[in-house]
Amino acid sequence: MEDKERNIEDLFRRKLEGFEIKATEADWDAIMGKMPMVPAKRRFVWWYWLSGITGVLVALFMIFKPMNSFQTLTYTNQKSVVSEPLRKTSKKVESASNKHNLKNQTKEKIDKSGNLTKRLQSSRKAVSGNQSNAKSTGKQDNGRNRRNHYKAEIEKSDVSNHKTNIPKIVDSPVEIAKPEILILDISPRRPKFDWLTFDVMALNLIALNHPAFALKKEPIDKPNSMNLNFAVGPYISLNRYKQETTSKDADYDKYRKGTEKPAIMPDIGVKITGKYQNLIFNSGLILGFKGQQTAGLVNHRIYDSVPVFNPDSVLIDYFRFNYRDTSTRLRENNRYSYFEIPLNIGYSVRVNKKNNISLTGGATLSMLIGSKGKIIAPNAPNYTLAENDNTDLFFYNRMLTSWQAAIGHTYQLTETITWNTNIQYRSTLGNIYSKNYPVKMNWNNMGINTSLTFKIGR
Amino acid sequence: MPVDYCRPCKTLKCLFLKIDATKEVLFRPMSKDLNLDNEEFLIEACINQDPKAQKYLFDKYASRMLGVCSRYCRNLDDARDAMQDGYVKIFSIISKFNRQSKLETWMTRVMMNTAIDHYKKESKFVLFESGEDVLKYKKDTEEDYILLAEEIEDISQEQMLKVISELPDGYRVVFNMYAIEGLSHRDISNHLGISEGTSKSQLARAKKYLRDKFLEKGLIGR
Repeated sequence: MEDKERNIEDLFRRKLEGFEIKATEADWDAIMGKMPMVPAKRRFVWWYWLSGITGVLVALFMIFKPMNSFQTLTYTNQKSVVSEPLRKTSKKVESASNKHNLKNQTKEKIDKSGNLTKRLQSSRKAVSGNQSNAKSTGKQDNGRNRRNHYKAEIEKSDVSNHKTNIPKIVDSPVEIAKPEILILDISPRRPKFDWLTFDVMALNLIALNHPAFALKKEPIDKPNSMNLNFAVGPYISLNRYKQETTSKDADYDKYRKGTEKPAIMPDIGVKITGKYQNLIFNSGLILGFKGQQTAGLVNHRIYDSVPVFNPDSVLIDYFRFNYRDTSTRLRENNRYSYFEIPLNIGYSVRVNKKNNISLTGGATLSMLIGSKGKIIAPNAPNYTLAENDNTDLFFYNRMLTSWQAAIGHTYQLTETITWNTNIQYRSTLGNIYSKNYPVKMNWNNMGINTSLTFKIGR
Repeated sequence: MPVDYCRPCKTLKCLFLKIDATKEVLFRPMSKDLNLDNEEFLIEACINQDPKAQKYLFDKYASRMLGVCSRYCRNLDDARDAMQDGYVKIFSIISKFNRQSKLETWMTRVMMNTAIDHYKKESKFVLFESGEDVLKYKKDTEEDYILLAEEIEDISQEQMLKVISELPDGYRVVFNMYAIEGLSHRDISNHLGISEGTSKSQLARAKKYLRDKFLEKGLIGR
C-alpha cells in the first residue's frame, strides 16, 4: 500500500515539478510597483564621524602649521646669510647687554660665600661703569635700549663689512617646499567590505618640514644647498568592517580579527631638500612598519618629490615636475602576480600669485610588471581599474588639475578598459561634488584614467 | 597563509574570482560586469539591490515560480499576485538566505509560503477541517483513496494541474506540500499550524477527490 502511494507521489512530483507558466513583463512591472521604497539608513557611524573630525583637525593643522614652520625655516635661512658675519660683533654686544644679569649673579655669590674673585670684581666694575654711563645719559638700561643697540650693530656690520644685498623674503622658490602632498589618508575603501584607515602621517610630515628635525641644514638661497630632515612619527591604522560576512569560514574570521583592532606603528621619514643651480628638488620617504597581523612588513611612501625648474622665472612663477608614489607594491592574486608602480608626473603653473592659485597637471603611470603568464580563471568577469584616488582624501593647497593614465600589461588583467573621467570639486574640508563619467573602451593593451580635480582653498 | 577569500561573493572558494584577501584588491568587478549566471554573484548583487540582478532573477525563475504559485492558488490571477508578492519578499529577505540549499529551492519555499499566506489572507473560510474528520476518515475504506500509478501515467501535465486546481483549498495545499514539494506530515503540520492527523486526512481526501475527478473526466478507467 505504502509503496503504491509513494509511486503515485513520485509520479505527481515528476509530472508537476518543473511546471512553468510564462511570466510577463507586466508581472515585473507589478513587482517593481510593489517594492517598498526603503529610505537610506542614516545610522550613526561613529568612526566616520571620528575620522572626519580627526581629518579636519589634522588638515587644518597641516594647512596652517607647516606653512608657519616653513616660513620659520625660510626666515632662518635668509637670516643666516646675514647673521654669519654678525657673530664677531654680537659677542661684544652680548657681553655688554647681559651686564644686568651678571650683576645679579655676582650679588648672589657674594651673599653666599662672602668672597670675591678677581673675575667677579672685574665684572662688577664693568657693570658699575655701564650703569654710571647709563645714568649719565639719563636713560634706563632696559630691554628696548638693548634691542636698539643690537639692531644698530647688525645694520652697521652688514653694510660696512659685506656690502651685500639682503635677499628678499618674498615668493621665493622655497615656497615649493610647502607640504603639498598627501597629508591624511582616510580610506573608506570598499562599500561592502569596508575598512577605515587612519594614515596619520601628519605629525611625521610636520616634523620633516621643521628645522628642529634637520640633520643637515643649509641656506636654501645658496647656489647649491642641501637640507636633510629625519623624523619618526606615528601611523595609526583603524579598520572597521561595515558588513559581517555570512560565511562561516574560520579563515575569514581570523583575517577579520587580525585587522579590526586599531594599530599604531612607527613611521620613519626622511626628507631631502636640495638646490642645484636653477633646479630645486624635494623628496621624502616614509617607511611605515608592520602594525597589524595582515599588514605588510614595510609600507613605503615616496612623497613630495618635486623637482622645480626655473623657480625665479617672471612669466611663469614656477614650472615643475612632480613624482608621487604612494603605493608601489607587489600585488598578487590567484590569477595574476604583478608589481605596480603608479607614478604621478606632473607640472604646476601658478597663475595667480596674489591669491595663491595655481594649476597643476600631471599623469599617473601605472606599470604592472611581472605575471604568472597564465590565466587561471578565463571565464572570470572583466575587471576594471578600481583602486584610484577617488576614495582617498587628498589635500592640496592649490587648484589642481591632474591627469592619470595607466599603461602596462593590462591586457592580462582586463579585456575592457574603462575610461573614467572624474570631475571633482573638493573643498578644504571635504569632498563636496564628485561625478564619474565612465567611457568604456576596448583597448587591448592600455587604458587611460582621466580625472579632473578642482580644488579651491589654500 | 593567504586567505583565498572572494569579497564580492564572500566565499573562500570562488571559482570566478580568486582574490587574495590578505592583499588589497586592486581590481574588483563592477556590478555591471558581474557574471550573473554565477549564483553567488547573483545573490550578492540582489542583496545590494542591484536592479539588473533583480531583473535577472525574475527572468530566470519567474515562470517556474508562477508554476509553483499556480499549484497553490485557485486561478492564474491569484497565482500571479502571489508570485509578485513572493518576489517582493525574496528581494527583501534574500540577505537571510543561508546558502545551505539551492537558490531555486529556497525561492520555491518562499513562494509556497507567500501563496499560502496570500490565500489565508484572502480566504474568509476555515482552510482546514477540524480533527473530527480524522476519525471519519479512518472509518472509510482505504481503497477509496487509492490511486494507481499506472492509471494516471498517461494523464497530461495540463490535465493534472487542472484537476488539482479544482481541489478544495485545504486538500490542494496539503497535497502540493506533501506530494510535490516532498514535505513530511510533521513539517506540514508545523507549517500550517494543524495536527499531523489533519494533514494525513487532507491528503487522503485529496487523493480520493482526484480519483473521483479523474474518473468523472474519463481520464482513468473504473
